[in-house]
Amino acid sequence: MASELNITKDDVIVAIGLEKSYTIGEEIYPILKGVNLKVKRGEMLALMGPSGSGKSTLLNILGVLDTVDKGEYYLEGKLVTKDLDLAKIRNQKVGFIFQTFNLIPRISIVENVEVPMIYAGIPIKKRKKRAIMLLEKVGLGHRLKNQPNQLSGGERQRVAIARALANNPSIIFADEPTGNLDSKTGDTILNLLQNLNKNEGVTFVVVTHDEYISKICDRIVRILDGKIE
Amino acid sequence: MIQIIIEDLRSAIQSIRSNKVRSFLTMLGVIIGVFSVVTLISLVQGLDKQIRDQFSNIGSELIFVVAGDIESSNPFSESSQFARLKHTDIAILQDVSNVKNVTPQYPLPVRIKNLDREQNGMMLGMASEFADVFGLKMESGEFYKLNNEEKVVIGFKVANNLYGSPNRALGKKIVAGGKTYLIKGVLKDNKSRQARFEFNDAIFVPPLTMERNHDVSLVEIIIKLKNPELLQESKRELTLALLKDHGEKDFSILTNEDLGDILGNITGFLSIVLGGITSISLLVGGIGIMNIMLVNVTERTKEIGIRKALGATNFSILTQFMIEAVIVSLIGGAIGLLLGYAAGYVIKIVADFQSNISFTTILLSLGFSTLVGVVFGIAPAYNASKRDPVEALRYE
Repeated sequence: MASELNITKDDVIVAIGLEKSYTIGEEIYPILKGVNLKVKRGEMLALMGPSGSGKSTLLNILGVLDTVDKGEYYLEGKLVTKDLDLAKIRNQKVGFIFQTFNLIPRISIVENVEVPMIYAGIPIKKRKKRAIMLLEKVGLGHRLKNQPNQLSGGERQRVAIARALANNPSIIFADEPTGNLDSKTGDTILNLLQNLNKNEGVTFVVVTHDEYISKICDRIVRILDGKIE
Repeated sequence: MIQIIIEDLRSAIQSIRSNKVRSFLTMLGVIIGVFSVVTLISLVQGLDKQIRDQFSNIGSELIFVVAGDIESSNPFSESSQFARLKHTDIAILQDVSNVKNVTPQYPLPVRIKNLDREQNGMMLGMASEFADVFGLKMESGEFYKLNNEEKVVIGFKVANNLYGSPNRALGKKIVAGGKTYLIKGVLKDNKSRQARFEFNDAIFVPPLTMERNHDVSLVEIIIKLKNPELLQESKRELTLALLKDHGEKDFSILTNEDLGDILGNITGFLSIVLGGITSISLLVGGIGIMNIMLVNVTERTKEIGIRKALGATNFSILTQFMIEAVIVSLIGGAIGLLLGYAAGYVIKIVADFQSNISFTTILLSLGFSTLVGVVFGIAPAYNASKRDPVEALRYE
């Protein structure tokens, strides 16, 4: 099938007819009703849609946190199925940036950035060095000893960005990355993402409500009622 | 793999440190459990060692004949309790080859008095051969000769305590067990702790006098061999000789090794019973750990979700929480062990009793607390590892 689809090296994501439904009690609720999507390497894509549109479910599936009922999802040309080592795929291929930052409390920000590298089996010296390098890159070189709760929201999101970059993933999913920030701080975070995209070719899928954010992206994909418009 | 475990250790220690009070309370159950197990077992083992040391001092050329067949299935049966040796047994035993000396022994704990001074001591009804049997020497005076005279020999300490010196005690009256006797001799200071009794605090009375004046009966005869190397052969011969006369085995013939083993069995049994009872507190400690770990897993659901999103496998989440539980109970075990040591030290100072914390006890208590961590940590850890990442991330 992959050959028929003609997936090139530039296609980070190819999704064909993704379907997903949830069963609550006796009732079956279809959430995704055949989603088709392609994301090219180096692209910055905005995924927009009202709540309940199936946006989060799609993000979970693309981020390999969940699997589809029907359809085919190719990440880096490889079909993602339940039988694969999904933890390893998440670790190696995917980065996440969350609206609520989702840092681990009580450990330093350097250690937070190290977490994905721990699961990748990178030796301590090497990963510490890389974590510090990444934190300096996002402008937190002066905060290395701090714990997440000693940082402002914007700073926390920078830590999350550094963490998402840790294992050089193929794609980073940013779920409402500025949703919990004031507009000024949000702008700096957006600038950071844009720079990473333009200067280092990092591929992003940004989930957002914000039309302003979507405008700085290369392409906008709208999802409504479980389908891409 | 090893690296993941090292990381788990690091994160376990971090989590324990960031919740100091809770971690300590969680450990407390294990601390108390291990402390009580270690203290009680070391006390019993100290007792065991003391007993064995005493028996190893007796000398291997001694054989003890006691009433009742204590090797039978029920040593506490009625027939065993009322079994007696006969006076004629002494002559029978004396006639066996390789037997040097024979003395009956009637032990009776008594109050020993002289005018205004008194002390506790052991009254021992024994034939004058006892001096040779136990290798005892006179400090002053001499041994009684007849088995029925009203004269006694006293231990060195008794003479000093009640009369001031051995010489002053000679020829004086002494009251023991309510009867008055004349002191015929005083033993030399007996530094080696022989047999089961402290001879320095004893009063030796002729056997027939003992039977006549006090409510005792013949339940023990002590034999000294000429050649200790023939111990087992002599034991067999003595058994046959008595069996022929008694017609049934209503007696036991024991070497000092046998005696040590019997008492060893008792202390071994004590160890198991006390260890078993105190292990219950370890069990309770384990349940405490499980409880806290379950709370811990719920509280850290979000963290589990984050870790899974970042690439943690079910297995690495499982080991993370398992190792945390094991570390908590292992630290608890180590603290309990240290407290057990401290208790042993205090007991030594206060009660002058050397408890004995063996290497096995240390290994056992640490091993057991690790086991507690594993057993009671596995359910919460498994719980954590099975969390769905999407739902865990949504958890607030």
